[in-house]
Amino acid sequence: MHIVLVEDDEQLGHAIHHALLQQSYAVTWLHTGREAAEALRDRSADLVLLDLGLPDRDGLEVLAEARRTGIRTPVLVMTARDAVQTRVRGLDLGADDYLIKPFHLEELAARIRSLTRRAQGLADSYVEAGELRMNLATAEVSFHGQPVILTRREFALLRVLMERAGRIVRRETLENALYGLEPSIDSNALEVQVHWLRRKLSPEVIHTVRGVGYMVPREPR
Amino acid sequence: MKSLGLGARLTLLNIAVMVVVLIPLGVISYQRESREMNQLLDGRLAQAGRTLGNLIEHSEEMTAHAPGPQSSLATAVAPAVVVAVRRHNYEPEVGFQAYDPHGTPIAATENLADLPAPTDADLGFHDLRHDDHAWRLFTLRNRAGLLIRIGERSDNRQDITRGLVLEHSLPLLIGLPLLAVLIGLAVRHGLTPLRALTSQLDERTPGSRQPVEIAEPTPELRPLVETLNLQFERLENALERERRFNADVAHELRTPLTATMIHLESAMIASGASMAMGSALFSAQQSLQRLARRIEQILALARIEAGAAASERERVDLVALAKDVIEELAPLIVEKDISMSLATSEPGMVLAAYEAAMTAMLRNVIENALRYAPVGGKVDVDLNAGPDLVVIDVRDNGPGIPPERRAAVFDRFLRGANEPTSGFGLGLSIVKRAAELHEARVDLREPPEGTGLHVHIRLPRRS
Repeated sequence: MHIVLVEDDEQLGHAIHHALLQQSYAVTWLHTGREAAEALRDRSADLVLLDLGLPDRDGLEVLAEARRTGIRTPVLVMTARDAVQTRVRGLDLGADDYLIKPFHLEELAARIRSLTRRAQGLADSYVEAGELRMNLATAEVSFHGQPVILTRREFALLRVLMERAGRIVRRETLENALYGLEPSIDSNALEVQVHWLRRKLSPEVIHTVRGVGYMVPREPR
Repeated sequence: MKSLGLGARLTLLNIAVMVVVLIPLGVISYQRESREMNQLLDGRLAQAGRTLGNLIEHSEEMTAHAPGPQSSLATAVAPAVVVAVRRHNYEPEVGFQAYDPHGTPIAATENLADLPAPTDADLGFHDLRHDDHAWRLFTLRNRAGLLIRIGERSDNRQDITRGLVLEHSLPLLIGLPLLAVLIGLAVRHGLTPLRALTSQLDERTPGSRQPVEIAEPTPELRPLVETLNLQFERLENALERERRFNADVAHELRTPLTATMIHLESAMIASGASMAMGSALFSAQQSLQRLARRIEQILALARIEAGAAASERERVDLVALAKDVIEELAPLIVEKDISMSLATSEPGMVLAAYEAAMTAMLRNVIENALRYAPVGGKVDVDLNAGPDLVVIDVRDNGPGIPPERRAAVFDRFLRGANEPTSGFGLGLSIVKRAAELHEARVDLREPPEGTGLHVHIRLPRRS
């Protein structure tokens, strides 16, 4: 697994470089937008961690250019800008995920795992959150290593939640995942599915934020 | 007068100037005209007197050949004159007296018949009142020694002069209002560039810093427009510098903070089983997180000020904002296993607000509740919209504020002292500033039962 890190700040670059090496990734650390563009062009990276505030070029510009020329390498944007627009624009321009500084190593490692798995294709793709493990190809789910049998809807619901583990997923998103764009027959349908999932797994596996949505914690408490 | 518009002021001044000039001019020309008229009429009167003298002289010569009663002449002349009186508009009532060289009356018109005979002292022009009328009289003695006094009524003369003056001033009287209207229109037209400027300034949103432009700036307006635009530009530059500075500060603080956090976490992973080192690193990480939170709060305060200075309120959906804030706080909710709820009276609550300030206020109130709630505790956020008020209630079941400190915190908060109470200070400053910007009222309350803090925010609703 080869990660290209593009970060002009010596301290932060060093910290991330070191931490990723510690986690047994092959890491190339670049400092400029020009180098980043080159690295994206020769497609040697499995994942690019891209800082937006580079000295020579704007990171978003490098990203947009790469996407225009058909380079599909997963890119995780790191930014110290707080404007929501930057976030939205980054995703629009083809970033696969974003992290806003300051972030924890734990968070970074989780995002990297998720992105690299996605990049490796469906064949051996699986998602993990806490003690939950889901094989997307075979639709098998295990909890504490024990296989769990889920209905199609329960699986669809859990998949969305696990793919965004650690983040709140809005009701609307979950309802769409369950029923497409059809209006649900029963407004409690989502609650019912969550209820069954909790019965089959464990109550604390799905955290409710009433009025907003549901969340599967990334790590078990 | 202060509230009078420039246009009205100019119009009135113009009219005043015209009146001030035209009235003395009118008076002077009236005086000159009546003097001319009097001289003209006097001349005519004198001429008529002489003609009359000649006429009588010749008729006396005739009567000398054919003598008859003198009274017959007097009666013969009188009706002729009387008949002539007032045949024409401007024909004055005239009269005469004629005496022979011995002072014997020869003839007189009825209107002057009972006037005492003139003496030589009366020769020439003089004015006289007779029969309740003012008369202008001319007395002469001709070559034959006849004493002739001829006169015309002065009031008739005045009628003539008045008529003339009226004839002259009538167009002026009609013209003046017309002139006033035209001056008004002219002034209005002249002020068009000024009106264009004012209407442009009127239509701007209050926070706008777009330069003003008027089509044809007059030499008087050009410096005004240029100064205005220069100020707008300076303000824009200052705000832009502030925005950039804030972004730079954010970058400069967050980047090393991230580096330190990641180094620490790497160290914790590397320290492995060593408990002593692990707990020291954990403490360092806790401190670092507090520092990170403070930095974020300071940055938020800077953003609030920049946002308030740079722009007018935007349309903001409070419900969407609250959901975003809660999403951002998800790690804290999970970490402390908080039972979190958001209840709203409407699916969307759009109001005019400063987005950065509103977000920071919600974030701080909710984050504070999450921090003070115990593990497995409760935080409830309620948004209730009325027609002209939005009420935000955030309740937690934490320790609340102990009674002995409550007064101090309340006082500090209400009085707006900015010294931070432990952990609470910066957050309160943010809430306070955001509340000020939105004219909101914030109360810190205690729940009816149990412990906890209830933050109650009443927000006037503007759309």
